[in-house]
Amino acid sequence: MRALRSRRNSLACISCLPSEILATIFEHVVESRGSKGACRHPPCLTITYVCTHWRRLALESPSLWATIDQNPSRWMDIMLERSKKVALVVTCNASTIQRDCLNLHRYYKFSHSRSSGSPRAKGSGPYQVPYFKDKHPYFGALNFRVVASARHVFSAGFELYMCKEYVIHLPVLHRSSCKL
Amino acid sequence: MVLLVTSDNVQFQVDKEVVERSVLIKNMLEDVGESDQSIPLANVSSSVLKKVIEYCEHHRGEPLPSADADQNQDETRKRTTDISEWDQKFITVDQEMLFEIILAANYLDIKSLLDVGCKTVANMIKGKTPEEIRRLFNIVNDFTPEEEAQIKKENEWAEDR
Repeated sequence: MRALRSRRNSLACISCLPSEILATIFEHVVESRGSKGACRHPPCLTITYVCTHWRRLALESPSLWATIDQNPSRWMDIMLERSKKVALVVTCNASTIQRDCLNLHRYYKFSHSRSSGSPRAKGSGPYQVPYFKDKHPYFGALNFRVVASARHVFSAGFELYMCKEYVIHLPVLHRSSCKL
Repeated sequence: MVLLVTSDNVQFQVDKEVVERSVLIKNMLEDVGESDQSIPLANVSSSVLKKVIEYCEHHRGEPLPSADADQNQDETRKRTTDISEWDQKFITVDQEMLFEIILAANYLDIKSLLDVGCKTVANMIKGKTPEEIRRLFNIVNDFTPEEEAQIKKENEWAEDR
């Protein structure tokens, strides 16, 4: 019965597309940031729940799993495992920052937002940004968004003075350009 | 002018500038040199080639992506599934034609058209549940019991986080 279903799927219009094109389509689905719509899963997981062919193809494509939104982080371990050694693009908030450190060497791009309601935003002294200390062979960009009133001293040695609702966008902060 | 012959044996006379948006044909013409010989396109039917030529005509004169720019463009392409208004209207076709255009763009090596096709399919998938995607593409659930168990486990495990 399952074989018949697979056979039927192989006759569907979309099955005329070779695997490499289907994989490119999946990458567009994952990379584009839009409404999650009716689906509660990250797009890469949704793809794996469609049929056997799509699941196997998605599981064989580590780059599909490299865009990680850690808010919430419940899918993070699956994505870290399936992205294998591909450089990661990560979005997270202050409460998940410690977990991030485990895979910092794989970061290509890191977006971090911190709100005044997060536990570490309330006068806990200089905010350490540990990912600057380590080696980041893939690191290409940093987007750091802060919504808080505070003076933050980065452990790497440069200071940022931020006022309420101040948003910093550093689209391409290369390590060399800020003497890290 | 260049003479193209499709899989269903229909001939198309096309401007060289237009047809050279296909890297495959451009290379063929460079290899053959000035010649009146027709170019057979065994993998492209006349209805699909007509659409492909319409696309190439519209984008005539626009710079072709260079090999060096490929990597940067790949990054840019990945970041957005935006498609221009004309391209969107052009690619509003039934699924069968959409996939045929994608296959032709891949075969003829027309990167920008392949991109438009792939982004269009991606936009169709985005925001849908697995069941909605199956319905859209006429696919059925053919998971093995092992895969079903794995999916169930994934979800239970993630719910516990």
